[in-house]
Amino acid sequence: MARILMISLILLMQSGCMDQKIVEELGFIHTIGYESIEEGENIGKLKVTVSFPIAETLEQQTNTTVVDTPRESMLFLNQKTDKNLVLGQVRSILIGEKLAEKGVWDLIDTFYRDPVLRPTVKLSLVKGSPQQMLSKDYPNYQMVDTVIEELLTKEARLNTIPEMDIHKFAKDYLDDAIDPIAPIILQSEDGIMSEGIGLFRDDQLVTSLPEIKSRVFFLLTGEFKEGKLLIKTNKEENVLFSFLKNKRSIKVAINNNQDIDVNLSIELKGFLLEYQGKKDINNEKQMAEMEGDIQEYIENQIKEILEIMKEHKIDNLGIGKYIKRKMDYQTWKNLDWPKSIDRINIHPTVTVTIIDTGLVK
Amino acid sequence: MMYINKNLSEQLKGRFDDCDDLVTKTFPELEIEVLFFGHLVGEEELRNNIIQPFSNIKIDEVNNILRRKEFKEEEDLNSMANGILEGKALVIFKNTLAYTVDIYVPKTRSVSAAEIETVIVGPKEAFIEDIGTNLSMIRRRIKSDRLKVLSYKIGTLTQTKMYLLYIEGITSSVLVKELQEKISEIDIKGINDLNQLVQYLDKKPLSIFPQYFTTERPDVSTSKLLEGRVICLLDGSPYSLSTPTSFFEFFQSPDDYNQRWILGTLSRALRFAALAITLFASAFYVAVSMFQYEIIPVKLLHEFIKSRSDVPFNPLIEALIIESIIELLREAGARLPSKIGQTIGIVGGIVIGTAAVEAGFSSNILIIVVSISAISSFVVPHIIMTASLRIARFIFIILASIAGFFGIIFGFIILLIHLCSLKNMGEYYFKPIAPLSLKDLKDTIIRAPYQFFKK
Amino acid sequence: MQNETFKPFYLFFITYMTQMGIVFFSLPNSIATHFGYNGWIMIIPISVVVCIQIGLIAIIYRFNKGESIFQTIESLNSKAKMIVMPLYISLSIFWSILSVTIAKHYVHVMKFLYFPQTDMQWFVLLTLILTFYLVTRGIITIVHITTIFFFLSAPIIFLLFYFVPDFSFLQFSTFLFNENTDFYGGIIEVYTAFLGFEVILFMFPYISKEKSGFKYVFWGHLYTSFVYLIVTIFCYGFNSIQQLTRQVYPVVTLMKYIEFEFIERLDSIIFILFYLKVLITITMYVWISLITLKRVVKWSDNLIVFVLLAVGYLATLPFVTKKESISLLSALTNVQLFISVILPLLLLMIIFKKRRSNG
Repeated sequence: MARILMISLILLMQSGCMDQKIVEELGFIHTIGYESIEEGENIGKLKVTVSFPIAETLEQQTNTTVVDTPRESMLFLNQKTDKNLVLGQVRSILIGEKLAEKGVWDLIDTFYRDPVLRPTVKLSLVKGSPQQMLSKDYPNYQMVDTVIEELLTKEARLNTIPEMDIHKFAKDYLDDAIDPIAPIILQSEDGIMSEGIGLFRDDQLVTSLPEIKSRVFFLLTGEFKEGKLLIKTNKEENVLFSFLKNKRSIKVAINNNQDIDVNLSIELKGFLLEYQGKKDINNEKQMAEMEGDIQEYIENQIKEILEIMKEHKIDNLGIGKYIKRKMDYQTWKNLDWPKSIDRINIHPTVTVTIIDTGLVK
Repeated sequence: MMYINKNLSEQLKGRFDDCDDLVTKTFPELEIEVLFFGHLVGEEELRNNIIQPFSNIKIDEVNNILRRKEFKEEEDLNSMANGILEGKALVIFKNTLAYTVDIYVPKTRSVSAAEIETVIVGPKEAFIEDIGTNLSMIRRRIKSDRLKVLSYKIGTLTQTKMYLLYIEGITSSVLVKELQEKISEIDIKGINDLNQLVQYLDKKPLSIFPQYFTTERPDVSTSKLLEGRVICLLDGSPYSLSTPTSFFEFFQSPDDYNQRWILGTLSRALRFAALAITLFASAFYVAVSMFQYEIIPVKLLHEFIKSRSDVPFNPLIEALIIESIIELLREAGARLPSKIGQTIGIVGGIVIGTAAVEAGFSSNILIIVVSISAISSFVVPHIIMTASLRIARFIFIILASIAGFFGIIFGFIILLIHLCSLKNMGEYYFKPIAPLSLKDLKDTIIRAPYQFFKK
Repeated sequence: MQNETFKPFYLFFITYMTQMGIVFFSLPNSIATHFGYNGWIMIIPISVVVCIQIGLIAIIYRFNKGESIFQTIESLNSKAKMIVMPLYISLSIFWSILSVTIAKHYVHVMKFLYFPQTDMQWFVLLTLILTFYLVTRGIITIVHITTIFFFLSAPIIFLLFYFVPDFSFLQFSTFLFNENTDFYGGIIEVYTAFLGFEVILFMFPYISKEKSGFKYVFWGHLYTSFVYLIVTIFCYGFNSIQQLTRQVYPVVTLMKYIEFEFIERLDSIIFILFYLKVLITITMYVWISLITLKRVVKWSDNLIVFVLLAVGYLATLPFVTKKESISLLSALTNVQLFISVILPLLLLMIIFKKRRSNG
């Protein structure tokens, strides 16, 4: 045994420690931002910003470069810092809105191919410039990139924005039955905030859903485990519906004459804790009426979302997957989803139950 | 038969020429000369067996006394000299006849508590240097005539007594025979300690793992005998050795058996976890900081790089330096008298560790890793195994610095192959994992309730 | 070699560990590419075919009453030994080249994922050193090591639970085998994932005789099929079908996704634990190469293994790029597939002939 070990140790020494990446010599890029340059001399090129923590002080360093294709960016960025930039710890990618409108698949594919990157890298769209977002000095935070990542995670849990990573995005993009979505964040006066959902057709950003609609969006995509909904009924009341739990079911029926009927039903249960209006919370009859109002409100919101989808011919909800299940292969291909989305009739039904109204009578 | 031995007294004294510690007591009216080593014999025994009987008698009554059972007739000069060396008194009658009386009382310490293999619940006795006392401790525990004791003498000069014990019917006779052969092959001038004997018996001296199990506790020796192993005792050594050995024996402690099964099982599980930690913790640190940084979660990453950024060396050198410091502390602690030893422990552990971090010698994460792995190595009940594990740990650190996780796995595979192919007196070293024996696993990985043990 | 035998219980571990090899990493991808939608179903019929193969081997075992198949072949007639000698030599060399190719392929993937700069040759040499060490210790040690490796690498399957929340049956859809390419080529490829059971043929004299001991081989094969099936199903549910056809190593991507509080990117640890499985596969082929050659030459074990490994290493030296490596591997595994089908049939023919001539 000793001989074997000796020989192998000698061999191993020769092999060299060529792949050594000693931790303190590396710059662990945390966030990469991409945007397209719309004006000036570099119009049409790509601006790439990276931010990574400096080992000695734990502050953030941000570097920017302008390139033609994303694949060149690492080379140029490495020239600007004393650390060896590595991609193994990249946690989130920011894509500028204008760039997203042109198409993001090229970028995503680069990331997907590289074995060093993790598929859980978060993806988000920035209204504005990622470079400005990353390089500004914020009074409240020291390291923006950590803040961005945590904001994305937290808000996704509260179901205001989707949790989108490269893997999910690629999955939805490549799947012919659904179109991808992405969260939108922007810079506010003293920090970062999340704004809504960006809807894609294939890999191009088409439109976005603002705050309230994005919450309703999540009611449609699946299970809502946490979160609140602010409802302004048409009777000038403000209702905050909290601790929501919903169940969603989609049923597809295909009639003989190729008409597709989709029944989208949502069961929503929650607590009514904040209410501003003329109704009396304790009156049962009035509460039942309230439930009806909320139902109507949500149904309207849903109808508006569906209108948006039909207008742009996108299916971000994944209704296509349910339709696909009911057809055979050739019919599905002929359907050419989601371009034929205006052919289907979607009937949303919402049922609302108020579980409790709080501690005080 | 008596044959004329002219002048025994002169011959024997000639042999022991320049041995000023030889005591000669004469009873000139009885023509009796008694030769013995004063420091080897017990005073009371001397008085009762020699002085009293031979005082106040006449010369014709001497034969009566010499016919007593404690007096053994010797005819060969060598055996007479050996008798004196063994602490017997040699009674020379009329310068031609010689008898030996065993009045050997060795001056040794009394039976005390085990110092190295301490146990929370259970007997505290440990072997001492006198082989007679050690044997009595075992005989007391196994009151059976099937406990056989074979006697040998090791060392041409030291003539150290050795006992080989086994239980007839449980131990295989092949095993006993093989061991006897090995013992007869030993040809050395002298031997001091059982642990040296072990190395002479060892067929695979190049392996870093111990091939024989040694213990200073009689209750452990007793249980080994009951399992069918062979025990050896050596005079002058407070240890017993048992064979055949398996790797997992070194991870058992009497505590496991004396406590309830769930405590025993959890202690065992903890020990195996400690085994993994002590082998791989530092190597894991080196591999991660030199090759696989992507394993670290984000929040830990910041702390990690901050602590490493102050260190001028690469992780391998840093790890080797700190490990060597710990080894130095360990050796120093073993040599120092106990009072100073405790202070050094505190000084070494806390002060040097903190100072090393602040001077930029090492990162605090590494200090934690190395101390945990050092503590884990003390969890292994038998320090002989600990020594082997320490050597293995250094090899793993170096392998990790060369090829990251692959290096660690490579070393691990070589280690496993070596362990699995070792055989010890015909039995596999890595039993019961290889060969897999489910019923033996009950007592190795876990400690099943006694109700599940077969008779 | 030792005259010791091992209990048939170990056949379970040997079968599973030898069958599970490098094909596993790209298995969901090849199934998705070749069979299209819901292609995972194809694992089941192919597994059944392999079961039949193993059944043939079980019949041979029973008729042989535990004697080595070499004796069976050579006792056919007096001149048989002369005739088969060149066959033994060529088979022996073939198997050693196959082993080194498997090693090279694994090292290639590992290098690509984790050690891009290092020269591949060093890892190959290190693997060959480990193989040398293991094979020269004898079959009993190999069997024991296989068992230990099994318990070290098998619990990884529990990590699949991590993916249960992300798993979606919707991804499956109701289509069957649409968007497939090269259906029959796919069958061959999935069959090669189950190769490895044929080494049991060479183990007959080392298995201690027990009633119905051979069932452990079936259990091992069933477990392999189970693992392949469940991982492929998870890949199908976790990725969309088009995504699955793009990923070269879907299993690696799956592992990369796992994140825990205290540790992430477990794929580096898991992939390197897989090394244990691949090492066993390589070791078994080198071992059968060894005992085949031992029927011809009377050298010491160490020398034979050294020569075989050296020949294998030098023969595969020119194949460096991924494409060359893959084409070599598939060529060799196809030949091995052929051997795994022909050899039992041949032995059965010989046995029946003997029985007839014995009356």
